[in-house]
Order: sequence, then C-alpha cells, then structure tokens
Amino acid sequence: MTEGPAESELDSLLSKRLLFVTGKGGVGKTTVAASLAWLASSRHLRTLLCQVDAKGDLQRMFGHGHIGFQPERLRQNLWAMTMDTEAALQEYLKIYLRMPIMPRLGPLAKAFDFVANAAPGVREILVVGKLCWEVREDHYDIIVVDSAASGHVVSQLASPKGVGELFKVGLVSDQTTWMSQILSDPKRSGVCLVSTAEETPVQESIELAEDLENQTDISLALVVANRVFPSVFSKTEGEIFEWLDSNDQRGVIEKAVGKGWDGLVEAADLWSSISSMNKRYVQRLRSEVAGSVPLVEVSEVISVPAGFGLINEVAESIEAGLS
Amino acid sequence: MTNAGLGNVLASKQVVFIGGSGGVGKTTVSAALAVSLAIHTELSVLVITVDPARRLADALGVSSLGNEPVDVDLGSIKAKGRLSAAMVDMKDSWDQIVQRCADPAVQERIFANPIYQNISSQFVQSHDYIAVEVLFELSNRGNFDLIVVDTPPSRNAIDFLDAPARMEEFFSSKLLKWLIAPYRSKVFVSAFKPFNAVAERILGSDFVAQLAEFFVDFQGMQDGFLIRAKAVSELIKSEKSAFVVVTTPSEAPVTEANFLISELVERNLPLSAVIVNRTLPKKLADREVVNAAARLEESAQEATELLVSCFRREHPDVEEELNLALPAIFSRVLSEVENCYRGLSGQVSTEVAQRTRIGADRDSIIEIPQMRNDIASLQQLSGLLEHLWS
Repeated sequence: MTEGPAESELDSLLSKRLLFVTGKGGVGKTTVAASLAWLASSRHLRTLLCQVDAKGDLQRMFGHGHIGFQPERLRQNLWAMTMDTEAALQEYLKIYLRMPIMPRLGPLAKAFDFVANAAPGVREILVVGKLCWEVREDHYDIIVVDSAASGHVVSQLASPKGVGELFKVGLVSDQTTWMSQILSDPKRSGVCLVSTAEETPVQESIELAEDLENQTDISLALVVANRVFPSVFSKTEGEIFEWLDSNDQRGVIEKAVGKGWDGLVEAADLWSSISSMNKRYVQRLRSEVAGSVPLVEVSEVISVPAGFGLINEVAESIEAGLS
Repeated sequence: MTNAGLGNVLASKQVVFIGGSGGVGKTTVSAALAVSLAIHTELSVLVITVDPARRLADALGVSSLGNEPVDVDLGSIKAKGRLSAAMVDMKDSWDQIVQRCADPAVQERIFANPIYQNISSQFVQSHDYIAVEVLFELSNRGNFDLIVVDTPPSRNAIDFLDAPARMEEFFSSKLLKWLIAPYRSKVFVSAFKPFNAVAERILGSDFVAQLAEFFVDFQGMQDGFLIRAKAVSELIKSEKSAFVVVTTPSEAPVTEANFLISELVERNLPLSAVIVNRTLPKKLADREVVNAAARLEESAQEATELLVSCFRREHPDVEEELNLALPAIFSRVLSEVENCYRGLSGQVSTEVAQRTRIGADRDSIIEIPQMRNDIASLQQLSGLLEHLWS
C-alpha cells in the first residue's frame, strides 16, 4: 500500500481497522460488506468479515457452508465469522474470568444469556466488545462488519458510551474505556452507510447519520448509493427521444422495427424515470448524509444473481469510485 | 390472473397483518390497502404503521402520527368508508403500559429507574411486542371495523407473531426469579450465589441491583401483562385476523416471503394474499416487443438513416453543428433504448421465475407495478390496489 500524500480515498478507507457497514433492510448491506472485504483481501490485508444479524446471506453469497463464530477462511487473506452473543460471552468469561468454555449452556451462561436479553446494552456491548478485542489483539488488519439494520446499529455503537453511564463499576465498565478509544478514533473505526437512491432508505439514512453523530463517537467513513440506475440520455438525446416517440414519427420507426416499438419506448421511459429519481436521491445523500465524506455510486447490476459475480461488480464500482 | 374477490375477503376481517422482509414496501402497501378498503367498503379502517416515511405521511395528509389515531381526510376521493392512521411510538407505549399495569408508587419507581429509560427501546425485541400491544389497545376500543397493521422490521418477519408468547415466557422464566431473588427476599438461596457473584463482578453491583429492582417492580405488573399478552395471542390466532405477505420479485425477499408463508401454515394462520410489489411491465416480454428489439439491433444503421432524414425534412433550419451530429445522436438514442430494454427484459424473466417460486395459490398473488416516482398523494396510493375490486 502507498503511504503519504498520494493516498487515495480507498487506501484511507481500508487503512481503518474496524468498518461497520449498515443501512435500512433490503438495500444491499451484505453485498457491500462482502465487496469491501473482498477489496481489502485483494490488497493483501488480512481481513475478517463478520456478520452480526445473520440470516445466512454470506454463506449463500460465497457459496460456503455454515459460517459460525469461529472464523472460516474463504480465500487468501479473507476470513468470515457469524457473531453469536452466547459464544462471545463464553469467550469473554474465558478470557477475563478464566472460566472454562462450557460445552453446552451451563446454568450460569444461560443466566447471562437471559440478562443479555433483558438488560439494556449487555448484548450490544458483547458484540462491540468482541470486535474491538479483535482489533486490540491485532488478529486482522481490517474487520468489516455486516451490521444490524439501521436502528439497532446505533445502540450497538453507542453501547460503550451508554454502558459506561449505566455500569458505574465492574469489569465491563473498565473495558468501555478502551473500546470507546478504538471506536471514537476516525483513523481506526468508521461507519459505511449503504442506501438505495429512493425515498424511504434515504430518509432513514439521514436520520441514521444524525443518530450516529449525536449518540455515538464513531465517524462516518463512506456512503454507498447502491443500485443506481445509470442515466440514459443527455439533454439533446432526450429531446431526440421525445421527438421519436411523438405521434407523427411512430409510423416511421414502426415501419423499421415493427409494432413492438412501443414496448421498447416503455422500457426506456421507465428506465429514465427511475434513473432521474435515483439522481435526485443521490444528490440528497450527498448533501444531507455524506457532506465531506466520500460517496460512491454503485450501478444497478441487472440480472447478476447474488454471488461472486455481484461481489466482484460491486467491488469494482467501489474501487473505481474511490480511486 | 384475477384478484377481484380478495378485496371482499380482506374486508370481512377485523385485523389484517402485513408482513415481509425489509425494503419491500410494507408500509406503502399497508397504507395503500387501508386507503383502498376505506374507498370501496363502508368500513371504518385504521392503519397502524411502524415508521412511515415522511412523504407517505404527507400523502395521507397527516403531519405527525402517534399512538392516538388521527382521521385521514379522504377529501376529493369518493370514499364509502372512513380512514384513520396511527403510528407506534415505543416510548409512549411503554409508559402507557406501565401506567395501566402498575400502582402509582411502583410507576414512579419504574419511570425513575435508569434501566427503564434504556429498556423501553430494546427489551426482548419489544418493537414487536409493542406493535401488538398498540393493536390490542386500539382494537378493544371498538371504534374501528378493520385494522391494517404494518409489522415492524425485524430480523425475522415472523417475530411479531411470537412476541406475546415471548413476553409470557419472559415473565414466567425461572431465570428472572434467580436474578431478582436476592433482592426480593432476605433468604438468600445459595444456588443463586455463583450467578450473582459473577454478574456483579462483570457488570458491577450497582447495575445488577438496579436491574433486579427494576424487575421486582416489573414483576408486580406481571398479571396485567400476561392477561394482555394472552389476549393478543388469541386475537392473532382468531378467524378475525388475516395475513398478507409482501415481497418484491427478487430472490432474497421471495425466500423470506416463503419462509413467512410456511410459518403461517405451520401455525394454522390464514394467508389471504401475497403482494408482489414493484413488478416491471410484462409487456416487455411480448413477442412483438422482443421482435422489435431484435430488428432494432439488426438494422440499427438503416433505422438511424431513415430517422435522420425524416428529422432533417422536418427541421430544415437546424444548426449546422447539430445537423452533422445527428446520425451519431440518433444512433446513440436507439442503442440506449435497446440497452434499457435489454436490461429490463432480462429482469422481467427473472421476475417471472421468482413469481413461480412463491409458495402460494396463484389467485392470491397480487401485483403492484414499479412506480416511476414517489407516491405523493392519496390518489396515487389508492390506485395501487385498484384491481382488488374490479
């Protein structure tokens, strides 16, 4: 990797140690997280891809079998794991209290699981704690987190701060200090916000960015406008298209290609309306979410099913957008 | 495919739950269905949404929504029925539950407990539970004939169905008793000691004490809670409820929809309809259109020449510079048209394949076409599901 003033936005992004990828459900978080991890590992960084709210998307995407708490090697320099609060708790107890890993949920672990369910912040601190611990122990160069959907990620990222206020003493309270140091350092940690260029996801992204700003110390590192329909016509071309489609010309072009022309027009019309709507919302993302943070547009990749192909395409878009 | 009977089926219910994975347009579909029911039936319809986008609230003509339903002015639309809307407010809902179930002294302690202030947003997937709570509260008032419920975005779209049961389970849990035992009675049973010792070491004794205090108070509300959770469970299971699953015609949402459908079947809950949102025009797959695209590709050169000469005839005084560029511009326009078509028609075939994967009766599948713009008015909303009635 290059150092110094020539550092690209991509270099600076991938020089972070902990990258949380988040956004509203259905915008392509997992694909973007996988693509970022793919890019990092292609650049010889030891990369861990961690899925937090696992639905098995990563497994499907990489055509890999079950991915559990213990990292699985996907290819050179790339590992993946699934966050599991119960396993994280056991690991925690083992590291800090030297308690043996219990093969099955013992009554004690069960009780903790219960507390983690019921008490605010406990589950969150376990998740963030595990990730920060990996950073501190230098096991990987970069950890890309396929995070929980919007709302929940704020409580996760706010947890060291919030927990610090709730837990006055105790082991966890001591540990929130170094966790907060990692999370609040923009050189080491950042959030990558993914959104599609449509109303609801953009609105939610604006609110999420505000919440992150107000309730956590972590900084925004990247905004990805996903599945953007590329624009079709320049101004002149658009005028020519309109002329073509006007009633007088219909006969001419239908003579050339047949009656089905109106279907082609419908496709072009639909595409360009979606594309101009997308354009407006990318603009909103740029001005109301990204600000001075880089924004990358990833084009709609039609008819490439989720998988390696899609990861590659998206990774290339991100690379091109940040170089 | 005809959906004409579905409107009446839904209209005969008291509660219609709208489920599906995130990002498929559940909230818009819920609002559209509610508007459509209010127009076509004489019912008083309420839509409970979880987190409406600002523009949707604008489209409904309501500036702010909360737990208390507000009337939606159907204005110029000829409607037989009435429409109201409410939005689940987590904090308010929790406060109301506490106010209903606990006596004043306990209420005060609960409200003051820092755990409560945090918990109301995170507790045992409380989003799901609160949504059904609000539903129960509003359905008990008897002001509404039919309630459309936009279910909250959760990890699993099915979570909301289990929320009342999970709440019951939580309150009757042995572990809850363990946790609060040392704080509730002076008889400190030795079995709890290891747990409390470790808990205090890790979490700090203050926190564990606060937590226990909170649950001691909370347990006082248990009876009220359990009665309601049971009643909500029963409402979900009753014949008065219907389920509508929303998806888009792509792989992951259809997988999720199928999961939801199978869970409904397993629980013996009736699936009334599957709404496939944002479908592309099927016309693109017509033979005529396919042929046109093929001919456009084969004879792009000739078509360009033909059109350019036609354009020049019609615009004899066009600027020289543009005149020279015309062949290139026309050729680009035509190839872009073809590209758009190729992109979208590929998607149409994917959609067809995804639609056949949906594990539901064909007649119960409703399609909503991809919009070209954001929904900005009641008219647009009501138009989305017009085909339920004709």
